[in-house]
Amino acid sequence: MGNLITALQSSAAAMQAFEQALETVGNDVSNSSTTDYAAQSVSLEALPFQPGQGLPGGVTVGAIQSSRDEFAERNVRQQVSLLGTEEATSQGLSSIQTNFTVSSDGGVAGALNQLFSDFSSWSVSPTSTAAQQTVIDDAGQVAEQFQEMYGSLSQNLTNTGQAIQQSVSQINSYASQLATDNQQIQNGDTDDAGLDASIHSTLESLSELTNITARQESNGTWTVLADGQTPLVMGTQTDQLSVSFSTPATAPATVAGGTPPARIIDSEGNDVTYQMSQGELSGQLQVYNTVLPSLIGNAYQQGGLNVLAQGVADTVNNILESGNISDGPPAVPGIALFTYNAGAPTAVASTLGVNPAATAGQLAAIEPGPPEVSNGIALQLAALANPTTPTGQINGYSFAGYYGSLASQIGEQASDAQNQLTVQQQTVAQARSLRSQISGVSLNEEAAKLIQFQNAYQATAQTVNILDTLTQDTINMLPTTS
Amino acid sequence: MARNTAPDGGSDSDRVPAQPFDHMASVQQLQGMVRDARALLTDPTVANLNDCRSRLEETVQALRQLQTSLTSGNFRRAATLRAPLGTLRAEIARLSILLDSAAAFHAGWVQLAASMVAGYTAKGTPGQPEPSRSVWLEV
Repeated sequence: MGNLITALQSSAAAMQAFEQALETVGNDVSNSSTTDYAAQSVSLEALPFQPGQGLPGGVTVGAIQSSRDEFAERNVRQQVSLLGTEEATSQGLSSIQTNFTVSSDGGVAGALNQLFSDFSSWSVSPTSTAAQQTVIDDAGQVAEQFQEMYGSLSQNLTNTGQAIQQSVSQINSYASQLATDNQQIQNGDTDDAGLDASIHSTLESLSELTNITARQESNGTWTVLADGQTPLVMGTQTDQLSVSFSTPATAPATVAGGTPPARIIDSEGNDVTYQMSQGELSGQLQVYNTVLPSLIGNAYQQGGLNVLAQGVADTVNNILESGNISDGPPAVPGIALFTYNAGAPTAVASTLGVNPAATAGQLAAIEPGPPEVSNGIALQLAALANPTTPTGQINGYSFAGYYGSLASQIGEQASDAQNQLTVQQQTVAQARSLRSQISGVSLNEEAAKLIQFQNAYQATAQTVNILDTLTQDTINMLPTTS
Repeated sequence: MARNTAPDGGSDSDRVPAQPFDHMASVQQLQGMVRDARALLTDPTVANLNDCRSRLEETVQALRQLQTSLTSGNFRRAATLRAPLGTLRAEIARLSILLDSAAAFHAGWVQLAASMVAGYTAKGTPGQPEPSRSVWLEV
């Protein structure tokens, strides 16, 4: 809230400056409501010209009016860009979220809970072939659930990659359209209202895809830059963007076999991904390069789902292999229950399976000790449901808890994105409203209103501040438990 | 024997028992009030800004009433209000974003206009416009 008040104070000061500015050119604000007041023809040409102080002299009212309109257009484009980001992010996260089943009897979490329950049953009857077979069958279910989830998330990655390619293709198409429009302007079509409307419409569509800076040159043509840096349109020339799914030479892969990131390359071969900071493309890149890799990994990280799959497999295997199937002599050691491709850290979840050599009679239940415990291994496995030591934990969570934390992170991000989207939709509506509010309004009329705006903003901000503080006070009054 | 009468003249049997204050419904109503005020900011005219402010002032009054009833009510049940009050704060934050955004628009335009009239100073900030002056010569 402090930022808001600061912003409004700054706004108020600026509005006073504007009032002064208009007075400077002879626009008497106080007379604007006087009956029969004749609006003066405002001219800025007589203003002091002081190059030594960096004052370039006056400009015409027409230039101000035009700048005002372009300022409103730019504001709309900026808000539309942010909306594009939120839409793409929200859509991507919602799609990912549907893969998580957090109920205790479904998906990965359900399969893990069932397996731990089977271990517990087996510990009661450590020599029961039926109990051992149930463990093997349900271990297969765990592997299947991991594979299924990995497959769904991989499909999300593929779809997002395609969406990135489509966005870049659409950006190039809009850039070509603007270059054609510039050609028309260069041919002398400078006062065509239809062409002007078409250009602004294209610029708005373009800004939904990425953050652009659009500037009208003195010859009437439009120069468009991505993030104010990468040229997209200059005169009749376009600089096409492309997508590369590869690791850059400056940041080689650190995880073998991981999917490379999506990168945006300009017409000169430069990596300009970091410049795509707003718009749908930005949201898609965020989902492709950050959100999905946090789950299924990429060239730089293993991904939470693979960490979990490997954690479960290694822990269960180590415990089983530390036990004995029979105490002999000679004692027969246990064998691993799970297998996976150890050479590809980002493919653990997708290659997780049950050891084909594992049969009911080969699951080791005996803890050698000393002292030897006939169901010690089965008990250790059952304890993985609620581990109290680092064995069986990932980042301090049990396996089921870690899965829950992954689901929770995605859920929170999806919820935040949805909230941001709702607000941004309203902000775009507001920007369009502000654009239409000032369209066709004279500067005289606007100057008179600015003082009212200034007062209204300050008063509303103060009320918001009071309301927010009061709400927090009310929350603080409440007891912490129900 | 005469029946007791209430100070307003009504009999006890005429009295309607006071309804318990429904805190949850009250917070939900506050959320709705802030939402309605927020909707006004999608078209931030001076009239809408003033309307928004007066709705927020009503919300402040309603919130004060809620506070008063909380101090005299059952505190154990009141703990359940924590989440809806958190939602109310989120609504207020959303409203702030819209208010901030509209104010930034006008501030930005004013700065641009000032710079067009008075240029930029050496520090890169818009120059201070000089008030117009006129000289009258009477003969």
